[in-house]
Amino acid sequence: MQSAARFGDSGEISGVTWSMRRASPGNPSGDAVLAAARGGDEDAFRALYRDIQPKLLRYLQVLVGADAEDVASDAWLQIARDLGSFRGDLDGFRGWATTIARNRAMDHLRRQQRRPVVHGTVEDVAEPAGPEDTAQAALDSAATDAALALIARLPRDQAEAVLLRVVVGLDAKAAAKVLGKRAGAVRTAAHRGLRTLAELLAATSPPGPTSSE
Amino acid sequence: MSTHRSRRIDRRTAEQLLRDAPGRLPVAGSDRLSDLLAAAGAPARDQELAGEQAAMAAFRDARLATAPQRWRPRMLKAALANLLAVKIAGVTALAAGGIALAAAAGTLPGQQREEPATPASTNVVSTTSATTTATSKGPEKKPDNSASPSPSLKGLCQAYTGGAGSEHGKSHDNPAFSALITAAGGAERVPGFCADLLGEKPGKPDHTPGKPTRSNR
Repeated sequence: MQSAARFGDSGEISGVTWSMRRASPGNPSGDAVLAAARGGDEDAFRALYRDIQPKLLRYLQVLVGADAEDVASDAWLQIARDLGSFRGDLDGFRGWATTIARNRAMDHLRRQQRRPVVHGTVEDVAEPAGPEDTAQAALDSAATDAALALIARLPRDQAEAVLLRVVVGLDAKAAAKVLGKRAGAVRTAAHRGLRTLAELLAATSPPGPTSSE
Repeated sequence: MSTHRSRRIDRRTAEQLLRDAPGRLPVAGSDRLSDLLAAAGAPARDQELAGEQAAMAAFRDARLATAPQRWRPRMLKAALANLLAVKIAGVTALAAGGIALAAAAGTLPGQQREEPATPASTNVVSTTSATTTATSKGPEKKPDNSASPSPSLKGLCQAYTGGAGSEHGKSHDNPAFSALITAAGGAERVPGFCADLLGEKPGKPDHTPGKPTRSNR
């Protein structure tokens, strides 16, 4: 619901003309966008991309680190190719796309024969923002990277559970489907993840560098 | 200090945080954990959409690949072209065999000479005619007369008598004449048979001698 509202309010689908296909609850405009994209409409597909890609990228960043962009483009190749065979609403599409991205990430990790990349500590990941960014945007961007870096320090099942719910915006059930687990297990993992994050935050209290491990 | 903060996150609080975080902007002065979650789920940044053009290209490619009216005619055309090529090769092989026969027979002087050449492209003709000159001589060992069409005996006689003057001996061996020989009841009887059939004297063919000599040679 929230993400749907965000999707609709973002203005990204302003160029799309069939926003009022139906007025029933759910994601009327979002579902219409999905239907149009499935029918071959480029603007609609672009809107889907802009909605989901940042979320996938952040999720992938935690899973595969610097290779997130490559894995994401692999995922979009498949999403574009298989979109015609997808059946479901926009929420279902988010879960489906996320599953594809995750599968590509797992393939990638198997190829690389290594564990998911653990970023540096929360203090040292803030990337310098471009000069054209406003100070606030730079701060926000750094905050996002810092947050992802901290989440990346969780055990993977906790990190994934938190990311799928907080970043991708899936509910426990949808996240469970992506992960191939029961909803209860995913909920528990997410809760544990939050507790761990709170501890990490407390351990890295603003005033001084502390040993967080 | 660090421990009782995490203890405060019970299941309900955690669920609340998870549910509220997507799309929420960090609020100054609020809980650090919820700020962190909000930052993780903050709106898209420009650099996160860097792959848009590639994704759109993938979408276009996928659409082209799946749109039936886009690829089907091309595939059909290619398939038809292949089929046609095979058929033409087959036809020219047959026709070239037929040329040897018809040319030797000389039944249909004008048309017969032109027809086989027209459907085939030049290189096909050249290769098949090269092979068929070989094959027209080849079947001496195994004359499958059944396969050869039954041309008009009259035409065969014309061809036979036309080639009789120069290379008579070979005409006997030519499978094209087997029907004629069979009809005449023997190779020796062919001249007489043909003389009766044509009702004129042998050796006066009004068709060009070029073809028969080439096929007979």
